[in-house]
Amino acid sequence: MNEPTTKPAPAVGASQWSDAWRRLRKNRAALVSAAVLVALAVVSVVQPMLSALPYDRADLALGPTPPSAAHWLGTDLYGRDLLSRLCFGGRVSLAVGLVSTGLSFVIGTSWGGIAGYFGGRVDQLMMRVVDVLYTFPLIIFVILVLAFFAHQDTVFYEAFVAVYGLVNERARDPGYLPLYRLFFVFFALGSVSWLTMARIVRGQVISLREQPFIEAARSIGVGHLGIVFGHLVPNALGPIIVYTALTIPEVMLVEAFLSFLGLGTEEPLSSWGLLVAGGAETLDIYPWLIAFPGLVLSLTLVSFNFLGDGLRDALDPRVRRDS
Amino acid sequence: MIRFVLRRLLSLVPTLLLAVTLVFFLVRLAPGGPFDQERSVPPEVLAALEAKYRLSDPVWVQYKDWLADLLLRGSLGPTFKYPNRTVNEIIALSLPVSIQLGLWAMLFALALGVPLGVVGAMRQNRWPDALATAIALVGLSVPRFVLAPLLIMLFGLTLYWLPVARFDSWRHMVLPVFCAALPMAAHVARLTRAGMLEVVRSDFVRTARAKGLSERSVVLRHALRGGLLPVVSYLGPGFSGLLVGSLVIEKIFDIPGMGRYFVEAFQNRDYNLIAGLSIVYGVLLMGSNALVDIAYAWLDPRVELGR
Amino acid sequence: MNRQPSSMAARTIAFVGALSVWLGALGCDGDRGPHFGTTERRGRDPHTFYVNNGTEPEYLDPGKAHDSASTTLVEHLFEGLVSLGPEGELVPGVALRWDRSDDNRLYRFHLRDDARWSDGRPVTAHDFEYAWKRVLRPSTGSQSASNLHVLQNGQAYHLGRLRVATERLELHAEPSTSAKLVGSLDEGELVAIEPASAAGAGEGAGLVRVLSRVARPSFRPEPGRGARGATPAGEAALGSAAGEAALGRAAGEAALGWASRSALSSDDAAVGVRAVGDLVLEVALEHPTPYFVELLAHPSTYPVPRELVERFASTGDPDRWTRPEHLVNNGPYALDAWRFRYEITMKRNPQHRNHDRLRIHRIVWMEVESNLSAMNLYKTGELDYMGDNSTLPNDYMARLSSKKDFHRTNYLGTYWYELNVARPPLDDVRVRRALDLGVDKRELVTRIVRGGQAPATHFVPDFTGQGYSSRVALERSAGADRFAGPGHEFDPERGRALLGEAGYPVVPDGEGFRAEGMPALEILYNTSEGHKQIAVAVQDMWKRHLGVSVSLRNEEWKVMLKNVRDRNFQIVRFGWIADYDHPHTFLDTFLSTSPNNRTGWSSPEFDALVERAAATANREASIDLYRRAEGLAVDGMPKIPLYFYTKSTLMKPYVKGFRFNAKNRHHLAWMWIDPSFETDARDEPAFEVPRFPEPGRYEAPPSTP
Repeated sequence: MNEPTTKPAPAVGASQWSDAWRRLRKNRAALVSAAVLVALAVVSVVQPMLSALPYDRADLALGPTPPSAAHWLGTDLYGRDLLSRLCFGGRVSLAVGLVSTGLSFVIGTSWGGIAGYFGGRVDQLMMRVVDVLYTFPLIIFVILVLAFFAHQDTVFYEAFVAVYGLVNERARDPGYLPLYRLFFVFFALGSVSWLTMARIVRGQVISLREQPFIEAARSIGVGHLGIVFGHLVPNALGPIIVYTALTIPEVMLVEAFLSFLGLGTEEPLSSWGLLVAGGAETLDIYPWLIAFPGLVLSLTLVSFNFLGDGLRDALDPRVRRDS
Repeated sequence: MIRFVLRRLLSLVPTLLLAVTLVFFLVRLAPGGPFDQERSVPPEVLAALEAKYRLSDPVWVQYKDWLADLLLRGSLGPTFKYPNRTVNEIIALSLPVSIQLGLWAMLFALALGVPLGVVGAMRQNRWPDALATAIALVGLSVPRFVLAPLLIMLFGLTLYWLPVARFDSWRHMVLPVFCAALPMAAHVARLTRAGMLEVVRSDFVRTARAKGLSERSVVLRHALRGGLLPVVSYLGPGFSGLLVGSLVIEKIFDIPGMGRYFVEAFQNRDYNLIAGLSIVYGVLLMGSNALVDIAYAWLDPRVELGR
Repeated sequence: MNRQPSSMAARTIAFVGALSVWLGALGCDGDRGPHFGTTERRGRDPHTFYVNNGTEPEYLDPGKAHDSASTTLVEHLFEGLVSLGPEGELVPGVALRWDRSDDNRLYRFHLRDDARWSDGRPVTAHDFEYAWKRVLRPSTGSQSASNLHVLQNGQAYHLGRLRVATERLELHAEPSTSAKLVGSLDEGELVAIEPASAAGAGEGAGLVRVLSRVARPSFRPEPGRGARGATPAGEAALGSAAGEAALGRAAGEAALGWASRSALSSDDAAVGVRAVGDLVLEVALEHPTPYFVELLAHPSTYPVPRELVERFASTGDPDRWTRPEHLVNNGPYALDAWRFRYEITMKRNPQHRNHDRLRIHRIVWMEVESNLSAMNLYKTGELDYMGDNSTLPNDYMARLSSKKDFHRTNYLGTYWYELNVARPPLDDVRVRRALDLGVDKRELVTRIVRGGQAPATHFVPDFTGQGYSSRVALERSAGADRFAGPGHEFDPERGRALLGEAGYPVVPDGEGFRAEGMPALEILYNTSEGHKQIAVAVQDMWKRHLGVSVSLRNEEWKVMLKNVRDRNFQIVRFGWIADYDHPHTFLDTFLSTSPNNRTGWSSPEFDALVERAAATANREASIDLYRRAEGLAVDGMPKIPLYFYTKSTLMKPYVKGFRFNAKNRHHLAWMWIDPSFETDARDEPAFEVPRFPEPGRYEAPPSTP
């Protein structure tokens, strides 16, 4: 250790979270972003309930029309209302982003943290597992998952019907099969996007684990897991949060790619990725079909980024002394 | 150091083998076979085709034969879709194209992303940071399948500066390289900025500043090395991802690279080709991840290797 | 670090906004001018033609080519007995003329003596005999061999069920060598055996069930011999028995007995084709086949260079002979370079008789897969022609169709939804007909498909040749189109009534309808924007007009094929592109014996009618029978016809000699490039199109070997 090192960071306690919250509230960009995201989420959830134009109501005679008083954002090829489809797509995309990224965050952080902390054989083994999974092409994984599980004679389907049946008595209607299949897309995306997260966390942890504050923690008898999740991971939260903020758009775009291959969201359901991918085909013919979904998608991604930055600043234990 | 590198590389072999074995067996479980056609093929013809490609053997025999061919003769077998080519030939033809595209894209991404990230971190929350963030956000939020048609419309069909597709000269490379690089540059810029901010606040950079070193040398000599760690982590998978090409870019620009085969070979149930691609991808990925580990040591002396 | 982050966010958003406005403004550039894109051919050789072929060909081997990217190239590299003229008409290829027996069953082709392989050797009748038998040989694994099933004993040989006794053989009553004898076979006698898939009983004893005796083809015209059953008594087994056996129908019925498998060898000598000298090829068909000569334009009937093919087959690498460094071919063009997955270049074949007459000397076949990219390449002048194998994006049709270089024609194909008639509620013909009546096909083609297609009320495109289109015209002029009017055209009211009759009363429900008790239906399609668009529209129509709820399922191609093969579907999208210009190719898929009948629908009446139609030598009478058979299929409605295909494409105005035809097969040999097209009105083919003389009458062979 010939370089100057950081001071031991205080252990994470309740006060850190309240401090973080206090700092976050001061960050207007992050707050605005959060507000935008909440607004998008609320509109996505509420609009389909209120609108007189269901997302799947077609009007072939109308066809694709630019924005008008009746259809604020215009209509698509089948005369379906773009606003309704955009809002419904928001439900799907936000869910895909949050669920998959949540999975990625939980698995990736634990996996990378443990591998980086223990090092040696444990690290080797765990990282080789990551490598093996990396090498397995995503699309093959998704097709296999869908082929094996996403049909009606599986226990998963019964579980889906049981749960969804609580809110919709016609849950067994095959019209809801696309919804059921969507869960496997969530699962597939989440179970592959943690790999990069694990590598990043591991990299951070390796560089932190020899720090004096870790040794200090060890010397006062903090257990292995306590060190990993109480000291190492919180100190690496900056890059983790920024990467999480990057993962959400990534996952949404991968979902679009899968939809493009016919493996993701299925008609007549919609998602932002699906709308953007479809709109890109007719860029110069029906520009509104790309402009609005593109705008919403970009707005979401930008917001996640500012929110991520804000969280990073707020959670950084070393910033405290500056403020 | 050399022992570490060697050990690291050797440890790749079993991982790779495991991954490829997994692929080999699982793709055969997917519904449908390589010779399914819209128009029905008589069972007798199907049997002849399957016998020709040794698909009628039990799976483990196929695996044994395939592995023997690979280890003894370096042969990855014939493809089912392109009967007069072998998997080796297809990879030999398409990989160099992807490498060419991928290397340029990565260089461009680093050349654009790192300075943007550094500027953003050094001038945090001021206008250079805003500009850098804006560029990064465009890269992140505009998917390639939107960016590419936009650029084609602009530079190919409106201004007539650059070709709209194909892969014959350096002029054909400009748009695909840019499209492939931009999202990566955005990632690199964001990660550089985050990593730099992390390091800039650390004590050793404070110390360096306190010692009276110029801002420039603080950034380049001290902060950048540590700040690049997250970028380097990302580059491992990012690099191999670019190398095997991007399906979307290859499709839109009609580039004969390797990326398109990853989806296509599976759709054709071209088992040998899938296995061959997995090997190439695996080697690239694990190789670049190993390089990343070595780069850690170089970038951050705090990292102890091979403990 | 004390700056307000929010102003930074505002700035960021301002930058992004400015950028998108700039890009948006640039995107508003419209397409003006009479042509789509440039009509200049900057710095390009007027004898080199740039065309898109869509994708990488699978085989350049004529006997194995089955996808359109391959067959297009093979048609330029090889030449069959007949060739295609600029209008898609049959013109002399290697054959100069042909004779036909009165019953449409025997054909004799007279070959030209100046046909050469690219290595200088003459192309002979033996090359054809070899090539055809090679296609049918099971071990070749040709996926287009069914084209040659029309040859006498062709199908039985292809399916491995035609055997010749290599010695005198005993026939046992049971699958055991100790069972009592029921007869014997002479050495050299031909038999049909049970399909390998049905074997089992005699496996252990090395025995195989012999179904029937099969006659060798006779190349002598026999007055009075027509279809099955019309054969003279002594030859009752000829043809038909092997045919029946091949279809597996005879299995379990009367068989001759069991015989030693090892003494029965596969033999192609009994297949109905033979060379008589170098310049005469004789063909005996299983049944009278009115479309036989049409089939000969398909690459599977082209000759192959025997010596080269066998040399490569013996090295265990049977598909490598088509690489440019090895290929020997007999067509007007030769392979110059082959850049895998990128482009194929052809040059003129110096051995071909038309070498000096060709006006396009080099062809660059690009392999651009994205329709949008190909369209862009055309627009910037990189492509002279979009190519037979690429399509224009639907969304751009409206913009393109006003351009002078836009071409559209009928294309021999029908898009339909196939119904699994084994599964309720689709087992009820009233439900199937109701679904047909509930699709507004006119709206579908004008709003969704947008390619100027004709809505279809039946299965054979109205413009099919060989007398079909004139038959339709005749019916129409008499105001008696069999498939027009009530019961055939969009009629939601009648559809709802039919559903009610079937036990699913349609009641008003809110703004629409609801078919009570109707089980849920599902439309299956393979992943593609075009299929998706149609499915979404049909889903909406059924919901709106009939109150029937349908869900959509898109599957990756191979998964879908597997599910269809397992009959794991209710409604599946398919289409049929004609293999040859004759109604038979469409109606064949409804036969209960057709491997392409995926619906499970069968009608003995329909089968018999098609069989009779095929065996009727008189063209008008034959077409009338086909049309009646089609009526039965429409009544049964196992498939819902949606529309007849059209083909839309772009061809630069400087390309001359182009005649857009319904086969969508355009040989570049007929075309030429005219740099002064703006002032030059000439548009004739590159050289004079030869014509076949009227077919002669097939007389007894001059000499019997």
